[in-house]
Amino acid sequence: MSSNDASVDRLCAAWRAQPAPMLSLTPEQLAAQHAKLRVSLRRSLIVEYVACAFVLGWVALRWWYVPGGWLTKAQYVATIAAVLFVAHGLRKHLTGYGAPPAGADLLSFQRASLERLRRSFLAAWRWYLLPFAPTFVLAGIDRWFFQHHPLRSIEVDHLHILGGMAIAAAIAGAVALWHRIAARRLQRAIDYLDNFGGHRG
Amino acid sequence: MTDRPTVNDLYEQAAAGFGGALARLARAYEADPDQQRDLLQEIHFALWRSFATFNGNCSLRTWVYRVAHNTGASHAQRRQRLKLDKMTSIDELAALEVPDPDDPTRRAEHRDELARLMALVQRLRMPDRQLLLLYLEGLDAEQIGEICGLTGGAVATKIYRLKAALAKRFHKGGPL
Repeated sequence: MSSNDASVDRLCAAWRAQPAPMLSLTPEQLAAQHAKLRVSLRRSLIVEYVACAFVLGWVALRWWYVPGGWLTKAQYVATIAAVLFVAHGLRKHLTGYGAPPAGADLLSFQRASLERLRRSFLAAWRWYLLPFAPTFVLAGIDRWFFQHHPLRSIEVDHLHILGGMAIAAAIAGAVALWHRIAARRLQRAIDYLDNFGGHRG
Repeated sequence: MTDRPTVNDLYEQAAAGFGGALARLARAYEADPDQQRDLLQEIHFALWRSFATFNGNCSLRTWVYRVAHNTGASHAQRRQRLKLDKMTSIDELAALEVPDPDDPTRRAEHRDELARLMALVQRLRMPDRQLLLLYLEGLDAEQIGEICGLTGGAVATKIYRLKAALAKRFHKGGPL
């Protein structure tokens, strides 16, 4: 045996000789843990639903007190549709849809997890930001043609509208770009796994 | 007719047979002691839940290590998502410089061999980290291959490089 082998064997032996606390959960503890997991999942869904309900309530109130013209009503409808769409997307993502099986081999599991995360980053803007685009565009048109600020000239008001829309578009763009960068980083990790070599058929 | 073991039977068997390995594994995926305890519980819970889909296609040991490492990797992914690029592979490890043996601060920091090993493990990216951990647990190339989804030959090559990198850093009398 070479001295290198001896060093590594000594290391392995030291690793296995570490004091390791033995843990064995009782069926009651496991059931409690299961219940806890369900509660925490339900709670995170409830928080999202409450946020959606809050926005819907706010839209309903505005509709009631400021019904406005057809364009304003169209904005209310677009907002309600967007909130419902986002709520559906959140439910799909928070309930672990498409998660790889726990007993999969390590490479497949790792690849599937990274791919799932990468896809969700790439798709997030479609189900989180894009649904609000119609509301945003309708609000811009409404302000541009019908809802001028009483204390500003038309030209200055148009500049304000354009500025506001540019800021909102820049924020949405920055979020989408950040997601793309994260997805690219994940793709590099996936490429590393794909080039790892020696995959079983 | 034979009685199939229940989920609870399988879990008890796994906890009794691999409890130590699972605790070491949790330590290798999480440096913070409080989080380690939580991760260990999470691994045990994932294991118990997983037995509902265990169909005996692989050995209990393979299944336990797969579920445990997958749970650990998910935990690490959540904690280190932004550091994916900063992790090291086995091949890069061999090329890294060993710490300066004359640096007293470095010597003090890395006096404990196990602490150094743990730091190195936590620096490795997946699945290199998993390969090293399985090797340290004493599994052979074929067993590691079955757990990781790699051929025995590929694992043997990786282990060869791994041993060279470890020997370089942990050789008795070598740099600390």
